[in-house]
Amino acid sequence: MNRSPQYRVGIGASSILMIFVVLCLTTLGVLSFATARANLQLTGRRQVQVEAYYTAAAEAQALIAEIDAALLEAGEDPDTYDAQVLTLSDIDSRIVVDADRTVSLSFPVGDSQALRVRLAVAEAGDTPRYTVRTHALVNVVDWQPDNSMTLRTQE
Amino acid sequence: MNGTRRPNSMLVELVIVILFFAISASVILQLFVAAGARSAQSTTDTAALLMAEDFAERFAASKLPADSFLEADGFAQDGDTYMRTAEAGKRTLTLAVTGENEDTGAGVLDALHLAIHDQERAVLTLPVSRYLPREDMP
Repeated sequence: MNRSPQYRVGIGASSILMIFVVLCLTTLGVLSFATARANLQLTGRRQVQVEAYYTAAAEAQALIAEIDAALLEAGEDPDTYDAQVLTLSDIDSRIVVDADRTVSLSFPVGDSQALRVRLAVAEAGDTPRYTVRTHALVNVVDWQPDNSMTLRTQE
Repeated sequence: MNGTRRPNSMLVELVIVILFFAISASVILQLFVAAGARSAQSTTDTAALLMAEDFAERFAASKLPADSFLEADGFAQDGDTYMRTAEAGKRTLTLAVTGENEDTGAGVLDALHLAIHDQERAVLTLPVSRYLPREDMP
């Protein structure tokens, strides 16, 4: 009598399988939840930054409008015009006028960045009355490099 | 005797395993649902952000008056507000623009306010301003 071997599932096999499946599902669930949460937080931070940038850009446009109106008011007489250019900083404390007729504006964007706008003011009677030379987001916090590790040795 | 006890204990074990698995699965399913909801919200918010930036940059580059620009961009006027909808994946976002313009004599300052809603939820509000000197106007 040659009996074929019988394969029996022992007691506890289903428990072990269930524990394995539940552990796998829990790990996957926690990982996907953590990823989704991190993505949402990143989107939120980006949203805050974009809002801050466009708020600063809107303030810059409003100041540029005031500067242009002041330049138009100054007329075409070079002396009056030059005097008006030098007093542009009276419009707002954020306006800085340099000796070379460059007007600089700076608006904070978050804690570490600022929107820098530089205008080159033209001569009296010229149009356009100003040219935007720079409209850029710059870092205002000094970057501190981490030199604690030697990554590559020069031979 | 041993033969009858074994199937019984296996049956009891299977019932316990199925019960425990059902409870665990329901908890894990909730975790997956929450992750899916957060992921969907993140996708919608990112799409809204891109739409807002796109709108702001196109408006800044345009020399058209604000109302003409908005009409050309598919916005319909509803009182003081210009509105249009946009698809973001499976969601439909509503873009609403309000604002005012100020003639400074030297040019026109358009100060718009863009708000994006996902049904009842306010996703984003963005100030969008553009100063156009009179010489640059079409």
